[in-house]
Amino acid sequence: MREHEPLESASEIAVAVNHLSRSFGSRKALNDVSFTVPRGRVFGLVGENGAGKSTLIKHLLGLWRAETGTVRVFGLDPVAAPTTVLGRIGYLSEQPDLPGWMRVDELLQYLQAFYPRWDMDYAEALREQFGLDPAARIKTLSKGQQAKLGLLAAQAHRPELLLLDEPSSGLDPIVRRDILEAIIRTVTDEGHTVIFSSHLLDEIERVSDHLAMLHEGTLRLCAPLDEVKMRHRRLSLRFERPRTEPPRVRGAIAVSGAGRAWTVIGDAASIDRPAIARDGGSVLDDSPASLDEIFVAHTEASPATAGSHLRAVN
Amino acid sequence: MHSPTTALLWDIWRRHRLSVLVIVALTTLSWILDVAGLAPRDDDGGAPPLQQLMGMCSFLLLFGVFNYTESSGETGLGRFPQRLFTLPVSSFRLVAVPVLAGTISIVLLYLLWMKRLPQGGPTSDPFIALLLAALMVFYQAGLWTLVRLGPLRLVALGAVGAVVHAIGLLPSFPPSPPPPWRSEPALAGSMASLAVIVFLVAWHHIASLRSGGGQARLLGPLAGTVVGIPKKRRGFASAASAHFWFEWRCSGMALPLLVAGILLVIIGPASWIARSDPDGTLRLLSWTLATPIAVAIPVGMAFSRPRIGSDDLSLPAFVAVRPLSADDLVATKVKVAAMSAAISSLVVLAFLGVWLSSWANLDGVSRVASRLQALYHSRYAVYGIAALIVCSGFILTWRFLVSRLWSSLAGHQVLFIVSGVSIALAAISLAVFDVGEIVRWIVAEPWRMTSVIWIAALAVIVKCSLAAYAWHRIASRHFRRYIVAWLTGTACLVTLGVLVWKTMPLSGSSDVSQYQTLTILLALLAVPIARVGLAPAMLSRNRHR
Repeated sequence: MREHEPLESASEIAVAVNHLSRSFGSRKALNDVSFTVPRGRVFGLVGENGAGKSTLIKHLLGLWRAETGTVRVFGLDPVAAPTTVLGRIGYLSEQPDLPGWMRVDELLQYLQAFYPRWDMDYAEALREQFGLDPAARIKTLSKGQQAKLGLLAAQAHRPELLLLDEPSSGLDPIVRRDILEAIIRTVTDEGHTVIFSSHLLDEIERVSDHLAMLHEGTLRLCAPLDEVKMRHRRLSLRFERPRTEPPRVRGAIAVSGAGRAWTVIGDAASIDRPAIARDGGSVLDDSPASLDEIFVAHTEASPATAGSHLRAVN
Repeated sequence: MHSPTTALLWDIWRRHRLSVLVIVALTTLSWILDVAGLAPRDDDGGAPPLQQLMGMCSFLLLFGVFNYTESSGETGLGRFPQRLFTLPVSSFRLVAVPVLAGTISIVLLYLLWMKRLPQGGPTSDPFIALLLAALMVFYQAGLWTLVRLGPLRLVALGAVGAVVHAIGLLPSFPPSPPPPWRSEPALAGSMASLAVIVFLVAWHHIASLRSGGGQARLLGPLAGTVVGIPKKRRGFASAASAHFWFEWRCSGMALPLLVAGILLVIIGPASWIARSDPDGTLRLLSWTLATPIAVAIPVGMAFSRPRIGSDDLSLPAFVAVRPLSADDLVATKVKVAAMSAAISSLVVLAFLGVWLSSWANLDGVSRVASRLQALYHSRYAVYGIAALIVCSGFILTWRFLVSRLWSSLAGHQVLFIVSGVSIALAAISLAVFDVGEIVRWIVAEPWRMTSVIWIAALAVIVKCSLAAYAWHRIASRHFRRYIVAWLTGTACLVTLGVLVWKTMPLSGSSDVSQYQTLTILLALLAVPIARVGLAPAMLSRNRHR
């Protein structure tokens, strides 16, 4: 998953993004983003609103053209070869954008025509599993049912790459469970690749084996999930005297607290513990940081701090 | 903002400030022209055509400003802005603010323009102002309450406009003074009462919608004919056929339904009124044949968008992520346009079949047919010309549906507006300026005619060059099919043009060969090839932003 991690062959790479940048006016939506996604992995993409997750996914779909840098999906440029690339991708967004006038069975027949690998038996099985009435107009379906239908539409042609852009946002736990099960099924049964963006870190933690974190268009973190969790530590510090400003701890990504009690989230390998002692502090607790804490730390960290950490992890 | 009313008014201003500024600019410019003496009146005291054009644009823009609807991304059909339902404001105020603002604005605009616009008779200014205010109420109420009719709302509102116009003319019909029921005070009272009733209906409808009431109660059965198209039960043979079905369901029926509506609501009754008038029948026949072409101009503006009727020009993600090339997506649009134009032509033919065989006075038509038969010494020539007229109508209808694909599919708001405004201005200019006068001016001097021919020839060269550039990247199978269609359409128009010019009495000092040359050049320009060729590249820019 690391940018320069050697892979056995190029055919093992599902997605390769190199130095991708994109601006909207003066705002940088993506800033020199680079990563690769090997086949058969679940790639969790996290970041706050406006971090650039949807923009990145739209570049993978070819809906946005790279201003600088390159995007390759299965070795192809999705802008230059949209038909080939899109035929191998299943896509579900937060708002599925399905035509409201269409009936469920009409949608399935319509989509079947575009994908040679469309499996109508599988589609029907999913439809029954999701409890969707084939004669119902899409506009009469609830938000959760529309999300299920969107998932069905994205999955029934057994895509080699499933792109899910915050699919479970605003949905009830049952629908979220269905979506997660679909992701797991896609990977375990068929060995396909999933890129999954979400605000819900517990979902990411449950299904992803790799994690990428975007903040203000910059890739702050990109590594295997286990490695991310292993490398981040949460240190509870206590100082002899109350401090008016946060302690300067080398290797720290974020420091919070007040007075004598401070908490540091940092890189396990580079946190300078002797320096803490020299500064009059003692480590009361040293435990693995949760994904929530890692996310908040990277989101609130200054670019310089986060950048140094990115280099440390990668 | 201290009150909800101010906020609602600000909302209208904020969304349409450009249109409002244009109205103010046009009105001011017209006033300056008057003051500076640059707009001399004609013998009847009417303003020059340019000033009339400015006035018509101002009123059309004002109706646009008070088109108090918002389209949902899904259906693309404008409806009362439902986001306002969550505001702590009564339904009465939500409805009354735009209606009152609209009526007051149109009356004020009329007061500013009344001395510069032709009135078409001795109708008094207050009566016209009241009719315009009532029309604004009907217009807004129609937009809100007839949502389920979709594009047919335009037909309904057009018919309402025609009726209001006719009511405005009633007091001027003989005898003078008119009987009491046709007097201005009686008609004004009736229209004011009707406007109040329509306003109350609209208020009730919006209040019902706001409290979760359905929309199907109003015109439910008729609406069913618009949306109740049979379900697709079987699979599709190919991706192209699936997408054709999708495009057809989204936008294909708009033109045939509008044409059918106009024929039923306007031409049908008019043909009954003119059933004993041979010249009136001939005139109505030409209007009937021109109806699909005229309707295709505004429908084409909506049809050529990525999502019909929606303000959003970006390609919907549902379509953009399908594995179909930009060439195929545009080819589908072109085919749907052809099907739409063909069905519209069939609707016209069916109407003509019923009308001409039943209550029409065919003396005028027979006179023209006899003249043609005498000229060509064969009645088959008459049938041939009739068939060519129908085919040319189909080609021109289709042409207006597809000619803006290149600018609309680009997803570029400025390009879309500029091309739309240019067409609207051209259409209004045709209505305002005396085209016959311009043609007579051109043919009066041979050098003018020659100049026009040279300009047309240059335009053909530019068109062919652009077409060669545009089509070189498009799949050859699409090019082969389109070039056959283009050649067929152009040949049809050229043949018709040459045959028709032969029957026309020539005026001026130009000879028939000049007319025929110009006809051929105009026919070559009429059927789009460069613009259609540019459409896939523009769509691709929209798809891959």
